[in-house]
Amino acid sequence: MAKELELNNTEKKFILSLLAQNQRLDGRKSLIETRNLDIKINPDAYGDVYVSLLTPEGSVSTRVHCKITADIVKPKDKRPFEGSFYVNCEINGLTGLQFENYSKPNSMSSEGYYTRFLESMILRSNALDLEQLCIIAGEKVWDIRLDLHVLEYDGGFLECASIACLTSLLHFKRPYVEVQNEKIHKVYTDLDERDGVNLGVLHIPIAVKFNIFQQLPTEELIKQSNNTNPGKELVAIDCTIKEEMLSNGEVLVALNKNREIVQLDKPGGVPLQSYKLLELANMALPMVENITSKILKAIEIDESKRNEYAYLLSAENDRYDG
Amino acid sequence: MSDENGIALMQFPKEVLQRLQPDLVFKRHLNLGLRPRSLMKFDEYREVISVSNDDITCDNQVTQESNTIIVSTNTSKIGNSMVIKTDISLGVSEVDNNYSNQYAQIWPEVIVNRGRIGAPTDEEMIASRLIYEDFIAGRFVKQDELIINEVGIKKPEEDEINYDTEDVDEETINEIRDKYTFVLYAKINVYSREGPVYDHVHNSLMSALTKLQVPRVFIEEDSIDLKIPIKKSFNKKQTEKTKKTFNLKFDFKNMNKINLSNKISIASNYGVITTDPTILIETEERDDESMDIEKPELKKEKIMISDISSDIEEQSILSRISVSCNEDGYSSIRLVNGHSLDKVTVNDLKKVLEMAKLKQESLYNNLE
Amino acid sequence: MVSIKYSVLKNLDGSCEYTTANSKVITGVSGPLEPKQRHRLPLQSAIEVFIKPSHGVGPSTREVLMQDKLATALQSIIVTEKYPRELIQVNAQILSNPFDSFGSLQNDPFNEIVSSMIDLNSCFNSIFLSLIDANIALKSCYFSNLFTINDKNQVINITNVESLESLQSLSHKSIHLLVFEIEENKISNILLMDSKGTFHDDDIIKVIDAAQANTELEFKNIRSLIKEKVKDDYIWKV
Repeated sequence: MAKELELNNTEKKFILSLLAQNQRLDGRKSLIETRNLDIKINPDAYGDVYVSLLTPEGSVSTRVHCKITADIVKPKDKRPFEGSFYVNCEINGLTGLQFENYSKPNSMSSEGYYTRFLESMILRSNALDLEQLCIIAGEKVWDIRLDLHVLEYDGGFLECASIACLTSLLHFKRPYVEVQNEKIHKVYTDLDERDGVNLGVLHIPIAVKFNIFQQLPTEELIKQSNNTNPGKELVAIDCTIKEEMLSNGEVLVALNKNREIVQLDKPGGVPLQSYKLLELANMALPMVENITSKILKAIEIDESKRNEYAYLLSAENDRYDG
Repeated sequence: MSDENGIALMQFPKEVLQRLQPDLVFKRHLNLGLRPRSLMKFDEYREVISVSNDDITCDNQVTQESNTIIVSTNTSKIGNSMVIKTDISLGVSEVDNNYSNQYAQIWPEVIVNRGRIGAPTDEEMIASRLIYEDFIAGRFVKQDELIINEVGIKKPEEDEINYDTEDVDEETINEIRDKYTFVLYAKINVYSREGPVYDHVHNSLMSALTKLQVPRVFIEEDSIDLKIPIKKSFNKKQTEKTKKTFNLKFDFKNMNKINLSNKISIASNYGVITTDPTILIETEERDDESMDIEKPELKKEKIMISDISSDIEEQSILSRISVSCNEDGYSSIRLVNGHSLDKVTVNDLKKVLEMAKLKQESLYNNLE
Repeated sequence: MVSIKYSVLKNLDGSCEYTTANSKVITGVSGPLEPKQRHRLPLQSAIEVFIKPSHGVGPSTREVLMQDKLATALQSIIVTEKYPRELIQVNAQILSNPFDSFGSLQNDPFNEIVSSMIDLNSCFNSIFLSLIDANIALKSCYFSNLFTINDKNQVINITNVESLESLQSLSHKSIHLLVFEIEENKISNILLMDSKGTFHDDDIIKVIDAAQANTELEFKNIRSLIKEKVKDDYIWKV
C-alpha cells in the first residue's frame, strides 16, 4: 500500500534547471546552503531531543525525535569490558505514505543504510566511550539504545539524524551505580537523589550528505571518459526529497570539528573525480563547525535552565576573577 | 429468474452460505431461538471438562535445562472439539538487586494450532499479552514464594540430601541463598479452535496454577570447588579470572506447593446482537389475506449470547464483554462495542456481571 | 493540563499531537486509500491501526493488543459504509511514556499495565482529533478517560498525575480505561471499558460516574477546539 512518490517531467526539468542556476525549489540561494537548524531539548527528561530543519519561510520540512534508553545487560563474551550501543530507526506510515509500516529496515532501504552509517560513525570512531559503560567486567554493562523517530521527512535525514543522535548522547545521563564486592549494591534511578552520569562522548562527528547531479547524459560521459572537462556535475548539500529523487549519486562524509574525516562513503552512482572528495570534505567543514557549536549551545542553554539556582549553592567567588 | 432479468437467483448450500454471509445465517437462527451449529440456547455455555495434575515431566533429561521441566499441567476440553493444554514450566534467574516485587509475573506463550508455521498471529499475541496482564492484575503468586531461600547439599557418597545446612560450608550456600528465583513460564496449546480462545485459555491456566509446585534445590558437594576459567581477555592488564559456578540441582522428590495469595479467577465472555425479523424464513404457506393483517412481531430484539463459540458467532458478534472474577470481586473487565448498531449498554453490563458471577461459581468447583 | 496540536504532520491527511501531564503521542490518519487486495472489503472500509512504542523495536505483544482494542472501537465510530473497498490507516507514535526511564517498571509489575493504559488513553484521544482533521466521516464522538482506584479507595485521574514518582507511589488496586461515546453533545454509551486489578460492583459505579463527569468537562474543551479549527479551515467564507 506504500504509495511511491512521483515527479512529473515538467517538475523534474524545472528543479534541475533551478539547480543549474544555483537556486533551490524551497527558496535557498545556493547549492551549499543548508536549511535552518532547530534543536529542542525536552526539559523533563535526559536525552530526549527534537531536531528539525526549517525552510527559509520557517516551516518545518524534516523533523526527527531522538530518545535514549539505558538498560543493564551482560556483555558479549568477546568484549567483557564494553557496554553496547544500538541505533534503532524505522521510517513508517506516520512519516509519509510512501513508507511501508513494519517493513524490517535492511541495507536496501535508505533508512536502514543511513542508520547503519550513523551507528558505525559513532561506534567505530570511538565517539562514544564504551568502556565507560562497564559496571562489572564480564557481568554487567550498560546497554544504550537510541531510538530515532522520523516525524516528517523532506530530505536531509542523515544530517538531521546525526545531529539528533549526538545532541542526545551529549545530553543523556545514566543512573549512578554503586558497586560493592563485585556486586551491584544500588542503582540510583532517581536522578534527584544522586546526579546521573554523562556518557563519555569523546568527539562530535557530524554526517553530511552531498548529492551529485550529472548534467550530461551518461552516454556522453562515457564517450569523453578520459576527458579534460571535469566539473560538469553539480554538487548540492541538504537536498529535499524531490531533489534526492533526481540525484545521480551521493557522497556521505562524517567529520568532526578537529578537521578529521571520521567516515566516508560513496555508494555507487555517477563516478566522481578523486580530488573532488577532498574538496567536498573541505566544503563541509565550516558547516560541521557551525552545527557543533549549535549543539553545544543548545545543551548549555538547557543546562543553565535546569540549574537555575546553581549560583546560589556555588562556593565560587570572584576573588580570582581576572 | 430467467436470463432476461439479468442476474439469476443463486442458491448456496448451507455450508457455503455460512462462510459467505455468517450474519444472515446467524440472524435466521436467532429468529428460531437457537444458535447455529451448536444449537445451544442463548445463555448456554459449552461444557468444560478440565483435568489438572502436578506430574513432573522433563523434555530433556540430559541437559535438564530448567525451562523444559514442566511442573504443572492442565488439559481442558471445551464443547465438542476445542482442547487446550497448559504447561507451566520453571526457569531460574538471578534476583535483581533492586527487587522489591510484591507479586510474581508469568511469561505465557499461546499457540493456536492451525497446521501452519511462521510468526505468531495477532490472535496468539493478543491472548498471550492478556494473560500476562491478567496474571499481574490477579496478584496470584507472591515473589517470595519463588525465591530460592533454602539450599540443600549432597555428599557424593550419600544418597540423602541434607537440607539442614546450618553447619556445612556456609559460604557457598549463602552465595546461592536468596540470590536466585524461579521464573514461571506457561506454554498454552490450543487445538481445533472454535470461537475466541482467550477466556478458555485463561481458565485453563488458572486451573494449572492451583497445582503449581516448585522443587527444592540442592548442590552436590564435589561441584562446589569447581572453577571454570572465563576467557582470557585481549586486554593484557586483566589477569585470567576464574568464576565459580554452582550446579543447581532440583530435587523432584521434595516439592514445595505454592500457596496462591488470591483465589483463581474465572473468565467468561458475552456478546450482544440484535435480531432482524425481516429475514425470518417463512415456514408456512402464506395466505393472501394475511397480507392485510399487520404483523405485530416485527420488532428488533437485542439478544445476549454467552460463550461465543463458533466462527459464525465470532464474525457476527462484534460487541463483546469479557469478565474475569473470583468470589472476592472482579479482576478484569473488557467491554468493546465494535458494532455501531448492536451496542452493549450499561444495563447489559450489569446483567453480564451477574451472569459472570454465576458462571464463576459453577465453573470454580469444576476446575478445582 | 492537556495540550493538543492538530495538523502537525503535513504529509498526512490528518494528525494530532496530544500531550498530557505524563505522556505524549503523535498520531496521523490517512484515508481513504487504495488498500492491498486482501484488505479490500466489499461493503465497508478496512481500518488499520499501527502503534509504535516510544522505544525499542515494535510491535511487541503490548502494541498488538493496543492496536486491536483501537481497531475494534474505531470500527463502530467511523462510517465504514461510506468508504467501501478502501482503507483508513491510523498511525500512532508514542513519544514519551512515564515509564521510559531505567528501572521504573521494576518496583511493581502492575506498572506494566499502567504504562500501556497510559499510552492507549492518549492514543484514543489523539486519534479522535486526527480523524476529524482528516475529514473522515464519524458516527459519533468519543472521549477516553483513565482512572485508578488506590488502596484508600480514592478515584484518581491518571492523566493529571505529573511525576513518575507520584505515579509509582499510587498503590493501584485497579485501573480503568473508559471510552465514552458522545452523540449530540451528550454521553450516549460506553464505547470501550478496560478494567484490571481487584475491584467490586460499587467501584465500577464510582469509576463510571467519575469518568462521566470528567468526559463532560473535558469534551467541552475539545468541542471548542474543533469549532475553532473548522472556523480557521474555512478561510474563504465571508
